Amino acid sequence: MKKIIKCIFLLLVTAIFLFPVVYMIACSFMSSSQISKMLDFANGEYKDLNMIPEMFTLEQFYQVLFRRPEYLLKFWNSVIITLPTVIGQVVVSSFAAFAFAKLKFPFRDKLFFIYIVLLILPLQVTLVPNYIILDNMNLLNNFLAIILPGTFSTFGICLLRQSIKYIPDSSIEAARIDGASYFRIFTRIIIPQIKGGLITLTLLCFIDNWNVVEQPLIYFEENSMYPLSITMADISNSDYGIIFACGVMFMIPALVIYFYGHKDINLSIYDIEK
Amino acid sequence: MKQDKYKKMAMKFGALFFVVVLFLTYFSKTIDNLLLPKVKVSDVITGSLSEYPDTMHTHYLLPLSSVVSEEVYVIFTDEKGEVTVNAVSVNICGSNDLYYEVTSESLFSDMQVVYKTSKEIFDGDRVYVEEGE
Repeated sequence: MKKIIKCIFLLLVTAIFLFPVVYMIACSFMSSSQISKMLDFANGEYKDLNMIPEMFTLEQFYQVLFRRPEYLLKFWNSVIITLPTVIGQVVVSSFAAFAFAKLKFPFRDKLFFIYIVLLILPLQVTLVPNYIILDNMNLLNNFLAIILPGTFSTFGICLLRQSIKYIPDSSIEAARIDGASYFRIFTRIIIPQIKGGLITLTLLCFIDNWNVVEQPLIYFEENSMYPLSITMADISNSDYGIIFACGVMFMIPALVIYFYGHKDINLSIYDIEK
Repeated sequence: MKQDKYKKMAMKFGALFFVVVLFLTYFSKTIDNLLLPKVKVSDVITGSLSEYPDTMHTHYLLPLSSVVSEEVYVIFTDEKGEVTVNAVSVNICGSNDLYYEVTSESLFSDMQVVYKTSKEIFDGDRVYVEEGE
């Protein structure tokens, strides 16, 4: 009996979490007239909650993929923002985390404490200082305005430092005695052992930057530079059907990355727990 | 082993997805335009074929092939740059080897009418305007 109740509870929670995604996918296959009948936000009305298309159609996808290339360009803006940020953050964070975890240098722990404080700060707190700095660097209206702060984010360093800390010092000392440089130790000993952590960081960093909304709105003046995430959040847009179709397209890269790395993520989480 | 299979599948699907999106980014408009009816258009000319024209109404000269069942299709371009055709009724007043002389309440001299189309078109259809000779 207890098991059945637990099962029902879990199914309910899963349904609640999955509902927006299923609803979005269902709406993406509806005709624009059915969607506008259902969602009449302009009059402050929410008329109907219908998840079954009256007429199954790929009209919205046709609009996005063939008739409105601006949405595809926004998709590539998202890629341009996300890809360098993820690569940069993983590289910078792994080096920095190695230094914080295994190297001894003055004020190491105090410096790391400052990093943790920065991690706790909400994004909105640093938004205006970042804007002023980027303005002085002439980087506003440039993709680097998002890529650079993302690359040097503190989150990755804190995450990977925890993974590296569990690697025994003795293996590093042994490598040092054998004459290995720190770079060689990093590439041959550290990296293979934190593979799970790196994939976790890649996925989290990807999601973080793929869904970015505030920074482009503040740092970019030109609409053509906005990533697709801004379009997703644009409720004032009357093309709800297109937003639903864009949503389906938008979640595919995140799902692909998750399916690629979810086993490694689970492993790394278990490793940390152990 | 099974895990590697999932990883390979995810990689292949991801690569295919990005290739398709890249392809469509460059060629979506081309593919869309290829699917549209191609039309050739002519400017609406103000004038009359008769020696003593009726001065009460504005008379227009339209190519013979543009008028079908006292109806012409005029070109309309919206703010997004999409080109559609709208059917406009005309009254035929006369003709010669090249033109119909027509009058209409809904026709103006800055409009363009369709005189040749690759497929059958209907009121409100999207079309692709080809350069006329």
